[in-house]
Amino acid sequence: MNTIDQTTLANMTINMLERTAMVLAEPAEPGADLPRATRFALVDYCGPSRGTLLLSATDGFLRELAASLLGVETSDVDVETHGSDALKEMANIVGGSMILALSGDVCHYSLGLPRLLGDQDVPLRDAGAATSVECTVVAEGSPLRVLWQDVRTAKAA
Amino acid sequence: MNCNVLIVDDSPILRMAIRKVVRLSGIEDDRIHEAGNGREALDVLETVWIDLVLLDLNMPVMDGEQFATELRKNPDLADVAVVVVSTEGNRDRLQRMRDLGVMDTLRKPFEPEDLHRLIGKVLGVSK
Repeated sequence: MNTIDQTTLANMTINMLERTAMVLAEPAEPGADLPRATRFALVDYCGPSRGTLLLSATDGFLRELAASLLGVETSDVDVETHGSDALKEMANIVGGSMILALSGDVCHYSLGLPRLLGDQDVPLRDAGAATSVECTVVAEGSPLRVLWQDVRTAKAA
Repeated sequence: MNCNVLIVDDSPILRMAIRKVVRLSGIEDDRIHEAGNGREALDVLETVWIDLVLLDLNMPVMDGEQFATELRKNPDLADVAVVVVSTEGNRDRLQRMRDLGVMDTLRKPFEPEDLHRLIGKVLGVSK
């Protein structure tokens, strides 16, 4: 199994945003004072190891993302429906890229269905995770945080 | 262009984004149909002749693989062109989709131009 570092995770996220929605993003400056996320989407995967990918975004970020996907003005976006759906789909796409990167040439992983989480359901960083990598990218001043946590199975360890 | 296209994806916003690209490929809006899972897609196919299905794989209720399996069982629908548009990277699953007659695969994330080209190729029009 390959591993993924913070730079790779950020690059995958930036690539996803550019290719899918033509949203230009860049890694957040370390220590930058960014607004707190308001919406969350989680997708899990299993295979040689198992884990989760959590995406956390502000309404501002999701408004930009949804507007770009739909080709409309940000003022025309309903964040509750379009923004949340866009976040879920982004979790799906980054998750797909991530399990490919984990696998190398042949992918033996399966991706679950992404789901939205309420603020109170967002998992904390798992101290028991074999790998935990986090990155934040920023588009138009609004952040998107990605947290990948992998638990290696006995077979994969 | 007198072709009917069916977009099958559980994400409404992605269906809308794909619809936009399909329109830009010359398909009239009223010839573009949508379904949120494989079950809904089969229902659409019972009522409308579809020339091309753009199919996600990971969906609730009925996933893309189950849909393609059901599609090929029906002699009236067995020749409908299907292109997978998905994050799927599992080689075994993609091979099963090819065995089910899927014409091509477009992996997410994709650029709108990638989809535009693929639609042109599958429907036999150069863009």
